[in-house]
Amino acid sequence: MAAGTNIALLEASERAERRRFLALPMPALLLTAVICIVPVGILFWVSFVGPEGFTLENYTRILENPGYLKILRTTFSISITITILAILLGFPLAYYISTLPDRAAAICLGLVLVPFWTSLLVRTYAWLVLLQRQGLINDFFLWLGVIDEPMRLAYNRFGTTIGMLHIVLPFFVLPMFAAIKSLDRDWLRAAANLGASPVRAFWTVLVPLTIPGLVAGALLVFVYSLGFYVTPEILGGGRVTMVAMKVQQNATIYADWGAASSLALILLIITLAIFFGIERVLRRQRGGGN
Amino acid sequence: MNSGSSKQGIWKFGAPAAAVVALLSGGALAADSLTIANYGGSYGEAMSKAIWQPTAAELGIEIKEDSLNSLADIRAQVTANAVQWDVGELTVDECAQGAREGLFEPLDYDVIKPRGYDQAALQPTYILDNTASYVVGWSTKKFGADGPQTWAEFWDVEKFPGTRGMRNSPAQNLEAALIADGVPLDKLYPLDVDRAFKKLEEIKPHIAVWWTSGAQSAQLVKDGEVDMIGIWSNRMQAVIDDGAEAQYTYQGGLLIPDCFFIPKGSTKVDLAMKAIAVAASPEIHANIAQYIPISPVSSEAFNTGKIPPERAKLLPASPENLKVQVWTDGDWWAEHGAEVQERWSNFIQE
Amino acid sequence: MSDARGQTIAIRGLGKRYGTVEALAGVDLDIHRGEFVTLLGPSGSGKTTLLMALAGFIRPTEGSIAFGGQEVVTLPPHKRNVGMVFQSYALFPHMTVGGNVAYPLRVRRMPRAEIGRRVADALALVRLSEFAERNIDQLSGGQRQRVALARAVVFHPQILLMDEPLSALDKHLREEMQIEIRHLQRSLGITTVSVTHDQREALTMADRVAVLNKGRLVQIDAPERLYGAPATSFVAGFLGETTLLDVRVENGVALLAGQALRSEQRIAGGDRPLHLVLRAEKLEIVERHDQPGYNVIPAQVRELVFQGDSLLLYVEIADGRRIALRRPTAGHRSQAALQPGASIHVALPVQETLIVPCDRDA
Repeated sequence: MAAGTNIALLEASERAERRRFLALPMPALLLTAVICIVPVGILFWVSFVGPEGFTLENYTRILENPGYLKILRTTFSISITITILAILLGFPLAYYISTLPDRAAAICLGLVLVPFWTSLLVRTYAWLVLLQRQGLINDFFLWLGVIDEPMRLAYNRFGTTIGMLHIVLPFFVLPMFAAIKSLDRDWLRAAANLGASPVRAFWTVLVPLTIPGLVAGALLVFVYSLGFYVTPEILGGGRVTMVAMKVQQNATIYADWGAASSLALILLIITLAIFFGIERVLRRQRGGGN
Repeated sequence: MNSGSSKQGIWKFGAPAAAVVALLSGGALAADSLTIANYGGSYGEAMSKAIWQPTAAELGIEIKEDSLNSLADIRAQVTANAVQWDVGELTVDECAQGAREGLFEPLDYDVIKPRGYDQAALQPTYILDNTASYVVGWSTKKFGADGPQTWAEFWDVEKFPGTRGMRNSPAQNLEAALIADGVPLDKLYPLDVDRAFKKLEEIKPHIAVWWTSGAQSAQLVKDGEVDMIGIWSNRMQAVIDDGAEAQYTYQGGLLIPDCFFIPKGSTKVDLAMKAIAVAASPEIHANIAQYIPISPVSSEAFNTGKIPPERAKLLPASPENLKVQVWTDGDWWAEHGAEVQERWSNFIQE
Repeated sequence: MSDARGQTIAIRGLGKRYGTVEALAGVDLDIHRGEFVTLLGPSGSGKTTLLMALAGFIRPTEGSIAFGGQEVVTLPPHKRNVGMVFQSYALFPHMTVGGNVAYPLRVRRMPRAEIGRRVADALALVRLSEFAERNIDQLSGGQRQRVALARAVVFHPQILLMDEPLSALDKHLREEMQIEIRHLQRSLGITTVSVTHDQREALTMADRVAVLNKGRLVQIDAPERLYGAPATSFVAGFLGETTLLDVRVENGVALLAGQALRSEQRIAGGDRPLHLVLRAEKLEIVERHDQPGYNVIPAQVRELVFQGDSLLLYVEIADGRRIALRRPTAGHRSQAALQPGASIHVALPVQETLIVPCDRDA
């Protein structure tokens, strides 16, 4: 029998195997389509439809009313602040945990994760208990005599930022921890051995080598922060309006989803633009050597 | 989906589900059962005991209770032609809005036979039932009994220094600002929006919290987070009953009534009309005040003997208290709500 | 680049405990300037712990380390000024070859021109001048090894530490690099401490080999002495292809299976168990049981393995114990006479008859 006769058979078998592998992610793909793509498509459709058919009024309203710009600015500036704080607090924390023995590290990570186990609402109210006028922090400092008047810690941007930071921090610490943990410890030792102080080693070796983890964590935190609703609603005391709150308001004020959808879509588009922008910069950096 | 009604098209997504629910809840008892819907929660429970159970007994029918969130729920059912509720209850601005959109059946006042209601309470498609009031409240720990007695005093930061809270909504706050600025109660509507916002700018720096839910406002009083607050009377009374050191005044209070209506397309309009007649009758109408510090709006309800004078003093719509307050104009808010709300969001942003 | 000069290392009473485990105990060791010392031992012997303590990555529980007379035991690693070649090489993947080699100079804030000159010198030294702009992932294993070496010496440290520097290379390359490192070390005159578990590597490269076992320094000696005069049965067993047989001593004479052994060694009596060291390549096969100058042991062939350049035999002596011995393939009697079952006389030259105290586990 000629050697080539079963080539077709083998190729068919390979194709069949590939198809079987494709079947594995199929449920996930379908689910993504149903719970993500379809609703966004509907949002998109609805935002261009008014009582008289096609309309841009939902978008012109956003452009014409300076309030929307302000809300977008608030949303992004809070999210950026929180991302920066998450990096400043989370990086050292992740680094510290990564240096602990496995068991202690597991306990510390567990503590970092505790916030995940309680509802967002509970955590937010817990901050209120701490931060409000007659809350624990003010009571403590009044008792110490450090302050005469209670400080305004809650019901403003400060309180909102703290409450949100607490909620998003694990989203930064976990990828960061994974990134640091996967580093070859010898790299840091080598840096020290070659004369780099811990600070120098941190900036010249640890940070550059963990940039992917840092960016992943920061993006996660940033994007998650953009969509916050409950925490600014409660801790903002009405002073802080983020996009998600305005989306909800619009749904009630205008009694239709169009006004809400347009805002949600704008947020989505800006977020995606930032996301791809950062990815592009990163890829260029990686491609262009050092 | 025909052209020009794409908005309805969206609501049609809910139609099949609504139809199934309608089928399941229909059946043999269809003729002698009704479904009512209100905001639910503790208010819904009180309404059930005070109004709907007695009404069901009176008519010898079964009344099922459901809860809704806003006019959007009614709109969804009506536009999808899958109405599950026979009687609905919403606040007056939403009722006015629903009436403008033609979402309600006309009411037949020959069947309802209202007694003790103002003419303004009896609208073609809805009828006011209970009311609370947006009032000035204060901490007695801070001010004793001599807290701010009017909106003008609430605005007076010299005479009444301290932290303040107000509802994060233009409704009632515009009215309060105008009253504080000296507009007489009977000249309030149509609201001078510019003037109101100008007055609100004055107080804005002194507002520590713009509250968003009734529960939150109660908590603020309880925790002593604010020294003065614009608050719903029923919430305030409940906190005081709970032992909070606080007081409030009906002076310049802004009455925010709820109302009954029959969603357009209900298959039991006649029975629903009879149920509203019973529920709105002073004898049953008066029951609600025994459960929660909410007031019936019919003056006759105060003559049934079911509301003792000391209780009446605490209720916003008692004849005595009515004199110093003003009714929220649902129509004005239905017309200007969206526009004012946008302006409010800009105003409140820091 | 010969201003680099070695420095002495003095280790005194060095110990490191992890809970109840003694990773290192009572190590005293002097290393001369310019000397190449290899730490040899099985895994868990403490050799890596000792190296890491020298580099400053492990803080000992007790003892002192002095470089050139200066106490460094509390000095953090970045202030010790020692070069190190890591087992993984630990080259920074985000820098080029040149960037890696320049790193220690940049952290020392040297002038640009000086850095350029030194990097070029160091790369020339390891014959990688053309590779300065390459990325690390474009290098072969041997090239990475040389970059690591260049980076470790470019800042002219007076001490060079190497942690299993050749373990990642294949056998051929490894032998080549052993020679190259030896040359480099000599020409730089840099005091060097390396760690290995490969006895051949240790014997090839080092001026002296320090054998460690269970956290203790057992013996430090030049390779020839270490092999020829092991201090204990552990050292004897660790180096070479060795069979150890325990012997009894009666009246100053060692007895193997009842047979008296002649030796040039003075045999200390006492209670300590003793071992006879039988190096496979030192054993011969003789015709007579009374061959002069030999201790002759009658035995029976059990196994015969042809290994190309040599034959490996396992033979059994009278009391049933086995001995390994190795003979060259050519120039000897035919294999036929060594088939399993054949009776032979195994002979050990008297001057090679080593009897050492036993320090191994039972």
